[in-house]
Order: sequence, then C-alpha cells, then structure tokens
Amino acid sequence: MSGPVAEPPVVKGAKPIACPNCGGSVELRGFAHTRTAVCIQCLSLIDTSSPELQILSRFDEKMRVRPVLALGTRGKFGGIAFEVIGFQVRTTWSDGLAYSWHEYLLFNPYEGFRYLTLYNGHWNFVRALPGVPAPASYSGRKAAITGGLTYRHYQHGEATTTFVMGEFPWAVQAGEQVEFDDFIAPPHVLSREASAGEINWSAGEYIAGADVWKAFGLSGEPPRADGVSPNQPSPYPQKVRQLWSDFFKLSLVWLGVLLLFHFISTGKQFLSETLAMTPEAGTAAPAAFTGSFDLKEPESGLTVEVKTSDSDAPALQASLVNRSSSNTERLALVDQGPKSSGWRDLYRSGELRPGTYAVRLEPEPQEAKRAGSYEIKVRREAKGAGWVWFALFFLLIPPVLASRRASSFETQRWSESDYGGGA
Amino acid sequence: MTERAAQCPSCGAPVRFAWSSAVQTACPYCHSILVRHDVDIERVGEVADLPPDASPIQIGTEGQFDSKNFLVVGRIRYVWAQGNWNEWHIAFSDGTNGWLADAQLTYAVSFLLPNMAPAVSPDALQAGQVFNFQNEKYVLTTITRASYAGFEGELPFTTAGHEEMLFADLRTTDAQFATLDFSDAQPVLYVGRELPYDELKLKNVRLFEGW
Repeated sequence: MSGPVAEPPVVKGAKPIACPNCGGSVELRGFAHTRTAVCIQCLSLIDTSSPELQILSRFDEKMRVRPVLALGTRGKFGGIAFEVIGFQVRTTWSDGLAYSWHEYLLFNPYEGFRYLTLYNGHWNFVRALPGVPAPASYSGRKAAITGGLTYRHYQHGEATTTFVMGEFPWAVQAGEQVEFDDFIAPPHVLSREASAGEINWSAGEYIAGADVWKAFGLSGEPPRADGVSPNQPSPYPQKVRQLWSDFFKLSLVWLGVLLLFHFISTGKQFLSETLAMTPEAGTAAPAAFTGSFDLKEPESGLTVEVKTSDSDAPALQASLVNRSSSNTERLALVDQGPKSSGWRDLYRSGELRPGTYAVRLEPEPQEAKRAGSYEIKVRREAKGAGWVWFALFFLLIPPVLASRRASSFETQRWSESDYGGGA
Repeated sequence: MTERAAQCPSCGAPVRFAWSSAVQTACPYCHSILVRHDVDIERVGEVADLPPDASPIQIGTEGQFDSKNFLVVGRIRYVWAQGNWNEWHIAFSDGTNGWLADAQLTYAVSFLLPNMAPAVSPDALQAGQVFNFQNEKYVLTTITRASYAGFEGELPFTTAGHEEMLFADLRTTDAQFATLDFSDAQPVLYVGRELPYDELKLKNVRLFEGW
C-alpha cells in the first residue's frame, strides 16, 4: 500500500474543557463528534465546535433531573458496548398535562450513536432509520411502511427539550421544539421528528428494564414499568394461542372419552307409541298395554316417558310387564314435567333381564272416568354425556379469560393515543 | 492494483498512485496538491491541515462492499451549517471506484451513475420531490450547502476551482439513497446504500483511547 497514514494510529480522547461560565471542568467522551456539551455544575450549554466555547443557553437549576443511567457508564447491546454520553428530558403537553420522557444518547466510536428512551419505566432501544418510510393507511388511519412492516399511527405531538446533560453531536438549545409522530408495530416503534426544515425518522424496539439493567451490569431494580406503553409487546397473544391450543387438545381427549362412553352405552329407543284411553260413558277405563318390545341384553335400567298434551288427561300409574315371565314391576316416578299444557312423567326401571316387555298404564281410580291420549317412549339413556359437556365448559374458562385480558391490554395500549377511547 | 510512480514537481519526492485513474493527489512530503494531466503533474496549491475528526476510517483502511474488496485511497471532508462529514474515496480491486460516506458514524457506499442525473435546476429543488432512478422511487429529503474542509490522498477529480457545493439528498423507503451533486454546471448523480458498520468489514481502522 502506498501513501503514509495521515492520522495518528490512536485517537486520543478530548481533554476536559473549562466551562466559560463557572470555570467548572466539563468532561468530553464523544471525541471530535461532540458539538454541544453541558456543564454539570451550572447547566450551561457550551458550543464545543469552535475554540471560543460559546455559551448557547442555560437550563434552570430547578429543571435538573437525575438520570438513572450515569454518564460515562457502558452497556452492551447485541454484543456491542455503548457509552452513555448524553441525557435529555423531553416534554409534551396534552390536555394541560405534561408528559416527560428521558432519552439517553449512547456512543461507540465505530458503530455510532444509539438512544435509550425511558417513559413510565418502559424502555426503547432506538437508532436512526436509513430511508423514509412509505406513507400508508391502516383501517382508515395513518400508517407507515418500512422494512416490510406496517406501523400504525399512534400519536402526534410537540416535544420540548426541558433538560439536558452530557454531550451531543449536534447543536442543542434549551427549549428546542420538534413535532413528532409515533407509529407502532409492537415491539417496534417508528418516530418521525420534524423541526426547522429537517425531518428525522428513527426506529425503536421495546426492551425490558431488567434487560437494560443487565446490559449495564447494574444491581438493584430498574424503575417500575407502569401501565402499558405504546409498543410494548403484549404478553397475551402467545398465551392465548397456547391456552386455546390446550383447550382444543383437551377437547379432543374429552371427545374421545365421550365416544368411548357412547360405544359402551349408547342411548337406544325401544318403544314409541301413542295410546288412547277412552272409557265408555260413566265407567272407568281399564288398564292399557303398549305393544311389546324385546331386550336382547340385560339392561341396568330403562327410562319410560309418558307425555300428554291434555292437562285434564287422567294421572297414571305405570308398570313394566315381562311378557315372558308375566312379572310386573311397578315403575318409580323420577321426574314430573309442567302441568300448563299437558304434562310429562318420567319413570325409571330397575335391572332387567333379556325378554319381551310391554308398558302397562293404569289410570288413577278417581280420574279413570276421563279420557286421555298419551305418548309413551321407552329408552336407554346414553351415559356420561351430561358431565362431559359440563367439563368442556370448565375447560373453556382459561382461554376465554385470557382472550378478554388480551383485548383489554390492546385497549389500554391505545388509551393514551390520539385514537384512545375516553378522556 | 497498479502503482505508477511520478515525481512531485515541487519537491521531487516520488508520488505513487494506489488507484491508477486518480486525477488529484497530495504530495505526502511537501503537501502540494498535485493534478495529473496525462503524463504531466501540475501543482495547483497546498493542502491545509484537516481539522481533527473522529472517523475510524483512514487512508489505507480496507473493507468490503457487495463481496468486493476496496481500499480507501483519498478523502474529501465537507463542512456545512450543522457540522461536517467525510467522503472517503474507495478503489476496488477491479479498477472501479466509489465513495464511502461517514456522517456522524453513519456509513453509506455510493457510486457515480454517469449521464443519469435529471436536468433540474438547483433553484427548482424542493423537499418531497420524487425522482425515479433505475426503477426505484427516490424522495428528496434535504438540500445541503457545503464547502471543502479539506482533503487528502487520491481523488477522481480535482478540488481546485470549487468553493461552495450544493447537494440534494434523496431517499427510498429502505436504505437506498441517491445524491444529486450540483458542484458543476451539469448535476451529477450518485446512487448507493446505507449500511451498518459491521457489514463493511473494515480493517486497518483507527483506534480510540479507552476503546
């Protein structure tokens, strides 16, 4: 290679400067990149780009904010060390209320500048965006597209620099104002800042306070995160998906159980018949018999349903007659239906051996002179169905609750945006 | 890379060219600005000391762009109202050249696209204006008035005769960018891409105290 190397091999750090206002020593960490430095003692903003060290403006002592990440400390992000060299507080006013967030300027002499922003305990790792996102719309609202992601407009506002510390590679002024627009695609956020003739886009990614603390090797707890931040990733979608997937898996198992029960003990109807009792005038109707039905296997118990649409139809006593042995078993009444327009009686038999059976119906003696028409059904109930469906209902509770929490998280996310619900 | 030795017309020191097509260079010994006309070398002035800067790049830094190796052979340092930036002249092993810009440690590589600049007057430029180059849509973002803060090494043109330059920066929706350079009567178009430091795979960079 030809040509001598023009620069010395090691770039020396800048020497501290003396504050032209108070004489205090101002440390410089950003090499020749620094254009504005703040005197930590008297809060003067010093223009370091020329040897005159002109004072640009000063911050009021009562605006002083103590940064949680100390200037000069280094943290590792993606394996790259960055040093905190600047800190600024920016404030926006909405409905008469001031909202302030903190911005830490991070520096690496090769990789350049990054930012860490902190609002209500929520952090973002931010870098300048190459390129200008394409304007778009999303459900009728403004959006921006870059890197294959659609970011939804969150809020528009005006931010004022209310306090700075450390140093910056640009000219800083106290009370400097920018117009900003935030667009979100959690965990990502895009910010557009416009000030006198300049538009800057930056891209941030949500980072948990604990991870910031880890990056800087700090002990203790990071500031507590309050509420939901605009681009905070929701913890729910994954959980909700998991819970629904669990629900469907369990349902399949349950359905298997149900099928098994069905297979072992399916419901079956043995008889369905309409029977009329028409006593001759003034006489009591005799007992009536249904047609007969066959049981090929022993049964643990059958249900006999007697239904009428006539509320005045005589009350009955039901028995089961074994045609083969002529044994008659009086059936136990287990349930009685409403009396408004007719009624329904449910009877239950005991254990039954295989054979041929019929239902015997005998009107109550004092009502036997009236006529009546009945529908009679004999069946074996399918077992288990009820409680299996009941169990399924309980299985539904966790995914339904999680889905509701997920939706309320999104409501909370948007509540502070330009599109938030209430006040 | 061809190295063609010549003599400095001012001090007689040997002057070598790392990039064979270089038009301007500086004598490393007497700091004369030398401009090459075919075989003759003319002294057109003297280089001023570059103001201190903190770029990790220096003449002799090697790197990669789109899997092609390059060598940093020269630089122009520009100054504008809000600061300054470097345009490092890079020579590729296949004899082509390009520029590696370093503005506050944001890096971009670009190439001259000959005869592609639109015929626009610098007075008609407006932020938001849209241009199409090579089937890509570029939006004009900033107009920068700059001047030379210094230069060193080998350049593909001479810096003599330029006082103030006007640049129009254009951006796509991703990392592509273009610059319209109005230094001369006819605007010149450069097209390139911003890329992260690591992707440049730079070697022989400067070291920084404490890092």
